[in-house]
Amino acid sequence: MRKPENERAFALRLTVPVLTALSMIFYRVLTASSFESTENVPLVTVLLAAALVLGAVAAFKDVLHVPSLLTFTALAAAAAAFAAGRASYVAFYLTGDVMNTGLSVFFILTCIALALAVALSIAAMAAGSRKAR
Amino acid sequence: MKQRRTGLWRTLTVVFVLLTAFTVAGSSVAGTYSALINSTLGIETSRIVKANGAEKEDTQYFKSAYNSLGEQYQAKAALIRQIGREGTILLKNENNALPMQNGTVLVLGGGSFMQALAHGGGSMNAADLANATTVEQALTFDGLNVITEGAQADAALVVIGRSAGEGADMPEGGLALTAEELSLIAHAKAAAGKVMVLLSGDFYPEMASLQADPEISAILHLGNAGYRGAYGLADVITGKASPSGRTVETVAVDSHASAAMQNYGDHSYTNASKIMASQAKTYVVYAESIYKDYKYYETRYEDSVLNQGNASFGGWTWEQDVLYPFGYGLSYTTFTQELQGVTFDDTAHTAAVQVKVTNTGAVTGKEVVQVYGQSPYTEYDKEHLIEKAAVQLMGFEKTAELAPGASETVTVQVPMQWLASFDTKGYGTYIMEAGNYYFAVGSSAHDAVNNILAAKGANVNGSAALTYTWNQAETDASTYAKSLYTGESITARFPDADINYWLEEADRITYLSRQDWQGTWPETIQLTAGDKLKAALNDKKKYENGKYNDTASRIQVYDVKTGDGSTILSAAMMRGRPYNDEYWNTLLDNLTVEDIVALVANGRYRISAAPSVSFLEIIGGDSPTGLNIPYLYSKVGADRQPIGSSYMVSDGITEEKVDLVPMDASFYCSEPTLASTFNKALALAEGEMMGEDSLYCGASFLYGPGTNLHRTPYGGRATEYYSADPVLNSLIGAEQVKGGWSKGLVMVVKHFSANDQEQNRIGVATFVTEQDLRENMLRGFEGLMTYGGAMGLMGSYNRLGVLGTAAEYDLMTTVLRKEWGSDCFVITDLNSPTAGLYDGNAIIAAGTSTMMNNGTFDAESGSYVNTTLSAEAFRSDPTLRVAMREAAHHVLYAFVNSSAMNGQSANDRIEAVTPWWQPALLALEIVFGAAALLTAALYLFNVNKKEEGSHA
Repeated sequence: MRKPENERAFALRLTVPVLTALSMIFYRVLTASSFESTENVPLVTVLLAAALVLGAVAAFKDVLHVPSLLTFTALAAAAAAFAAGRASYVAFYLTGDVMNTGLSVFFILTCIALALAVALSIAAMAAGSRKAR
Repeated sequence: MKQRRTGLWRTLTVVFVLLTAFTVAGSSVAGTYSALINSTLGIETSRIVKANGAEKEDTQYFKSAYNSLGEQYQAKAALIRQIGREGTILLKNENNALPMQNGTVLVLGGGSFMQALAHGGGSMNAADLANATTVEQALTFDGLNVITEGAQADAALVVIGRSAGEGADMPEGGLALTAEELSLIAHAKAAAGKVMVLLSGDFYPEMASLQADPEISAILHLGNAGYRGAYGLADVITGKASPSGRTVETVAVDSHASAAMQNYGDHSYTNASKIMASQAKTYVVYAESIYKDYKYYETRYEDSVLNQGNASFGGWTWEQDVLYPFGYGLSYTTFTQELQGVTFDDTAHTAAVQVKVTNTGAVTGKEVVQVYGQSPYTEYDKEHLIEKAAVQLMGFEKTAELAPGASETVTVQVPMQWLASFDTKGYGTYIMEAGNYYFAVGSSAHDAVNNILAAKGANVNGSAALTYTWNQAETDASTYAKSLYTGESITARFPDADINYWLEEADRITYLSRQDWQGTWPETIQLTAGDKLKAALNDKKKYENGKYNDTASRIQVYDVKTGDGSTILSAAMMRGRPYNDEYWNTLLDNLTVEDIVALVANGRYRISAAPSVSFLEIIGGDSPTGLNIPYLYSKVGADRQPIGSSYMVSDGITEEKVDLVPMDASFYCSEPTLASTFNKALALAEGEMMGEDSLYCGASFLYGPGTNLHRTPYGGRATEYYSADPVLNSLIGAEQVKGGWSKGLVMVVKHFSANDQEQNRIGVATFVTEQDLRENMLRGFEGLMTYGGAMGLMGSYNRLGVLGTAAEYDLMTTVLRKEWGSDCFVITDLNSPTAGLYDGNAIIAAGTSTMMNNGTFDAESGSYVNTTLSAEAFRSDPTLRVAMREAAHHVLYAFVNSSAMNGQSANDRIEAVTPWWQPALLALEIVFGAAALLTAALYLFNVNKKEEGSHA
């Protein structure tokens, strides 16, 4: 029978692929409904997909803690690639360089889901190592 | 302990992984902004290696007329003062309220408000508005006692104004007088016996009440005054100069009354949700046809006087709609104008209109001679839906200062082709129809119409003596069917710019026509995108690829050679050679693929270097009010030489010292202020002075002037566009670009074309008739690009019809190059992430030369994000190869004849210099990456060892 703290750790690790899946959905809707992306969309999508698979694996069997570490790395890389592509967009918006731009709902949702996924993947790593006590 | 160590390695792993990821991502962002970073840090990315003996050559092809930046600045301040003086428009002056040579004046609403109106927004932002002269400072300088509070004064001057700028039209209701402004006027009335109102800025509030108010003695207008234009205003108020400015648009009683206002602003297709591209959901239909601004008001006026075309429907009168007509302005003196004769030159297709101007008053002043033309409105026109304005401006001149009693005869040269009309549905070209033509001299557009009406026998306040009439016996459908610049046949090219092209017959709209003002009065058009339009908008790549294929079929493909970087040829060797010189082929054959891609695909505020032909990277900047880049470096040698960290100078008007460095060079009055002078010599002088600025900034191009139209009173970018009239734009703009070019400055005229509102400017589909497009929007560019000789042009954000203008072959090649004969380079507007209209292939094939691209360059693939242009595309598509080579040719041609070549001999070579921050970023990536791997390994080792221990 699983100990309660193991169940909590499992639940925490499971949120990572869930949030990653949400990020992917929001991101695909975002890029499908506008032509505004400047990041490498396939790269971000592949990194999110890798994070999803690795995150699912890590939730059930975090072999040598490698899947959870790789999940975090993939999410960090996806977030960085996304931010790089959107940095100029947000910079334009903030400086008013290009007017009449609006931050779309799916852009905000993608940012939130991705940030949460990264944060929770870090927490999942910590939970995984505390399980070893 | 082990737990803490594990936690430490985990934390460090997280930190270094994040640092690595964001440093790598940051590198790509830095690549995007490399031009800005290099400019901010003052980093040169290439350097000249001088050839032996090169020091003996005089390679300063463009020199300053001044011995120092300080001298130049003083001359510039004096010029801006002069523009402010001649651009001040006196709209009302009762009981000789003005001039006011002495006494106390209470100024309300001036100060920082007027400083804020020194410039508009967007590309016109100036670095240091606090340095702009206020009206208080200027009036004090000119000898008045100025107070800003108090209850007693000899006179009160209330400053009211409006401002808008790039990206933001004047909001609805923005032109109504505010409660605060009315309160200031009430305060002024209580404090002083004489109340004057100054309209500051390039927008006219609705002010019929001020004109009618007997307690308001005088009304003046000065557009955005720049840094020193207020001194010119003060010169007018105090009588040091007589006002000679003229309105550059009709000032309406009701800002919503014009035909154009019925279709303006924010319109989305009713089925916009079915349209994929985010920048394709909006449109604007120019249902008013050619009847913009005074062409509407004065044509309807003529028809109302002649009782034709239902012009008076609804009880309409000109007086109810118009407060001040186009070209209007008062003076402190009086003039007579006498039309002395008209001489035609049938070879040059011009007419010379001689007018004698006499100062019949008591004060020295300048007078503007305006010549308008009228073409006959015939039954053929009605049948073929050709519209004719009652008057159109044909030309103008300004006299010198005339003393009382003095006279001057001016000759106004008029191109006859502007009397021809574009017959889209009949001959498909320009025709000059049989019938009676008129030239009229007038003190405004309305005055000119009255003179023509008087010549026709109408009972109006006009003078037939100020008109010249001739009859054309037969319709001429051949003379103007060919370009007078190149001989190219002119035919209808833009059928899909007309909304009716996209609509089923039952849904088609009726454009405004003077044959029935009432029956064709524009309603606000609600569009539903049908299948044909939706398909074109939805799949932009398919449509643009389809257009690309169509465009590609018009390009003659030939074998394109490229170089390997080993040639000794340099771009500087081509200086002075014509565009079609055969040696250009030799030079172009030695360009490497990478250099061609760089020149064509990456042009934001820089022209990329092309090291294979020793072509240096070139900098430039915005805006129509002058270069908004600092005076930090001067181009006095092969490299930009630093001027110094601080350069204090007096402006020569006051003793106040100004720290010029690192202030930017953007000081000038707005374009409408310049146009209000109706003084071509001043426009030329301003262009020359901007050219001087560029020598002191080390820049060689300027994104400006803008020459779109003031289609409505609400267009936000009115401050960057001269006027509502294409001929005024053309004539003033041509002088300005000539002036800039005389100092080697490439002026990049913008925005080509039909970009007349800011609302939805990115992607809005502008639907126009071809007659309207050619006779209004394109004509506003024609002068600058032809006899003005502008070497740069910028596309626009909007679509002409459904296609982004930069990808429209018939704009960028057929009109610009084949009809107008221009060899300029053409750049897109900013290809930002939110302006993703552009397929690079379609754009370059259409004749655009370079993309103002904000994309990241991927050295490995040789391509830029945000554009399809790449080394691979170049190699795989023979048609694109030709288009990219020609694009590179245009870029090089423009700049080898510019000040960019200052200091460079034909035998010099350039070397690329890697900016220090690029290897520094790479080192950080490596360090963080290595640290991430190490800490990850240590984390995994520790956490797994801990687990082994706990299981043991």
